[in-house]
Amino acid sequence: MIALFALLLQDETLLKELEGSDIPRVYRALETLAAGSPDARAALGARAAASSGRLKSHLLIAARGPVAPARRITLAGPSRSVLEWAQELARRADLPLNWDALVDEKLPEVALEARDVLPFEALAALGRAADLGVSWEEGQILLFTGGYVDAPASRFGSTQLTLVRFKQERVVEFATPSRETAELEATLAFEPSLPLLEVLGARVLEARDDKGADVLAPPEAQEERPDAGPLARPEALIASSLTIKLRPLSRGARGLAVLRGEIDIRLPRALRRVEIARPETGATAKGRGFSVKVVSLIPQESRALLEIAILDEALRKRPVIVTGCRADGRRERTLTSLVEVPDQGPIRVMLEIQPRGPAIRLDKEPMVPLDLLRVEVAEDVDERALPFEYRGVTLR
Amino acid sequence: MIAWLALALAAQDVDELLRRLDDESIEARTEAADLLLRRGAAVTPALEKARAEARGELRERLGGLLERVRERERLAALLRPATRITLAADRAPLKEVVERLGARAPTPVEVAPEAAGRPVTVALRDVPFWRALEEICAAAGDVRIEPGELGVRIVPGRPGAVPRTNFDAFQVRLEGIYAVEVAELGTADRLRQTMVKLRACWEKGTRPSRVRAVLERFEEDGGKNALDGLDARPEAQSILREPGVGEELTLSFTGVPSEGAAKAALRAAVEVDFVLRWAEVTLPAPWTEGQARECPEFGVRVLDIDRVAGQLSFNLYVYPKAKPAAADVGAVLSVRDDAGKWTDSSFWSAGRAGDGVIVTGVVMTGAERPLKELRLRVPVEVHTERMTLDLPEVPLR
Repeated sequence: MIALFALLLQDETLLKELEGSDIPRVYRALETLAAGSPDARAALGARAAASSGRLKSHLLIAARGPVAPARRITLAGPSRSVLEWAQELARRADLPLNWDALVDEKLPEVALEARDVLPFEALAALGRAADLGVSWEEGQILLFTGGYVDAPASRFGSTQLTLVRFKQERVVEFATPSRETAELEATLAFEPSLPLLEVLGARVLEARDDKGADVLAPPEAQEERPDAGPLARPEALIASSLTIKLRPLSRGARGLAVLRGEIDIRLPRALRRVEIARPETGATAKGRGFSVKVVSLIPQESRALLEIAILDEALRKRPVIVTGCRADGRRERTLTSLVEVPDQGPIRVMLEIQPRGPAIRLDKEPMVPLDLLRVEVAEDVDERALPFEYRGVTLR
Repeated sequence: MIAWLALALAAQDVDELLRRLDDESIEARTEAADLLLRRGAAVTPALEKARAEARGELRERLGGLLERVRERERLAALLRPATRITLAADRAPLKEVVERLGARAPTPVEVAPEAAGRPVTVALRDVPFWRALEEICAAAGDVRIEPGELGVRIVPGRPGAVPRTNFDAFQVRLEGIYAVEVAELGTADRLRQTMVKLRACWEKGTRPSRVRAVLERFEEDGGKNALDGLDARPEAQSILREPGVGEELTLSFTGVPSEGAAKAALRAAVEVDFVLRWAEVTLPAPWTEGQARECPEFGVRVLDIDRVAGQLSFNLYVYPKAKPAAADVGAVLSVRDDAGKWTDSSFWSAGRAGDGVIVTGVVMTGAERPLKELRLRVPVEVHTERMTLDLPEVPLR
């Protein structure tokens, strides 16, 4: 009884935190609530029906359950070399960091105090302390010196939405009514552990500039979202670009007082898996309800080109995830180039597999053969929403 | 008989004008020269004969006049005079009126199907083509001109909404103003830029080689001149290789109009060039480093020429001789293969170096045939038509 009371009390505290203005704290409460029991989440759904605005949005996200288990790490200690910190971050957070550009640089020693934070918060803490730039390329997080950019970022679980660019344009063409538009370009980065199939777009729920004007763009006609279809998700996908449309800032406004919304994504609901050990051309494997054939596997300099065929008709219209692995379970970077769905016959997926960092291998040797090839087919997809929120963003 | 009489009278008239070229009064001489010039190529034989017989100052005067007549002839082949339209319609469908216009003028005009049936009542008498087109649109109501690269379309829209000025054979239009602000978030990088899009229009058959525009004024209704503080006036130019009926130019400058500005006074100078005479140098293959050729006006020295697959890359030094080499103003580089086919350079750039310029670029030759020679043509005599688009009140919103 006491335990139940304590649980209820804890939930009430969390619910109160959902309404706070400390965004990381709000999202942590949201994650905790989303990880609750089905009954507790059903209660959140009921509560959402009686709520409105921001609280309602958060309750609805929590009621659907966790998007992906959120991990927290600690990256703290006295002064150490930046390279050591980067290696420790990669190890603790399993982030595909590439520090090749740092190896020959004269780097400072820095102290860090990032305790119990999301992996992307730890990465930002390291970047800020050591003045490191970050770019997301082909499944790797590239670190380079002297380029730290303190761009507005909203982090939820294993994702980070960074506002990269603001563009406002006034067009006077005389023959047609003049128009003024504003938009933000953003990058959604996510940890490789999130099996994200597709980013469907961003919905802005609240946007006000620093002069108090509502800059929420008028709603666009809702397009019917196409079925996920037979896409092949590049396993190495870790970032995706998004455009957030707004109304132009009002006269004299320099930025946004608040920007809040959700990103709609697709995740696999259930995956069927087939694994091929030491894959080579011609190898086949059968799993629950589908089979796979390696049509060709060509080792090249520092990479392997691969074509696989998925032989079962029933899975023709399902998203596919292909992963190349090492014996120790470490995933290589898999980049999908093409999915071919002929009218008849098997689906063909063309891939390139590259060794995962920490350093890109530039040697001329053929890539070391893979220990395991994993092909997963999503039986169904789940559409979920990721929240984002910013306060006090300077745009001009 | 009447024609013969007219010819005889005209010949007599030319003789009289030639005599007046040696008159003691400057006014009389100038008037005679102007009247002879207006007669064009028809007076060339008489001028040549008179020059051969003349001495001293008169001989020089006749030589100068001959050159001007020839220049005008060359120009007439490139700059066609405005087509004068005389046309009347009483509630005739727009499409039919435009077809009648098309029978009188060479520029293709197409009417959008939704506007084709609009009734038009006009009475045009000896009106230049571009003005005639506007009057037809105004009479049809709710249609406007949309000039393109090869012709004109008449589409639904507000007639006369686009700020423009007609200059007899030309029309210059202000197609749009685009003000863009871009902020790279988390950095101090901010881009504020305004682009002013102009279009110069001419009739089909007119063959300019270059069109250039300079923005001279952009003054907001609050008094701020957006061009103050700029190092140079915004300008743009296009080198024209293909025949067409107009060209778009975008003039860009740093900064955007003030938030409160509703209107601006805008002035742009537009120049349309016609090349009356080219000078050319040809270099026979195989090309070697240091190989050079000259013509009286300029010389060319090979710095580097390389052909890989179907692409010829070149690096040439072009230096002036009698006239300044204008290699960066409408020069054309071409190569000829063994079948006699000429191919123009698809890309090039020119950078000043000493007295001359270094011209760098490529010619997409295709891989099949051997190349025989390279030719660089540079304009050495250019006629320029100058126009000013002066718009005192351009809306900025």
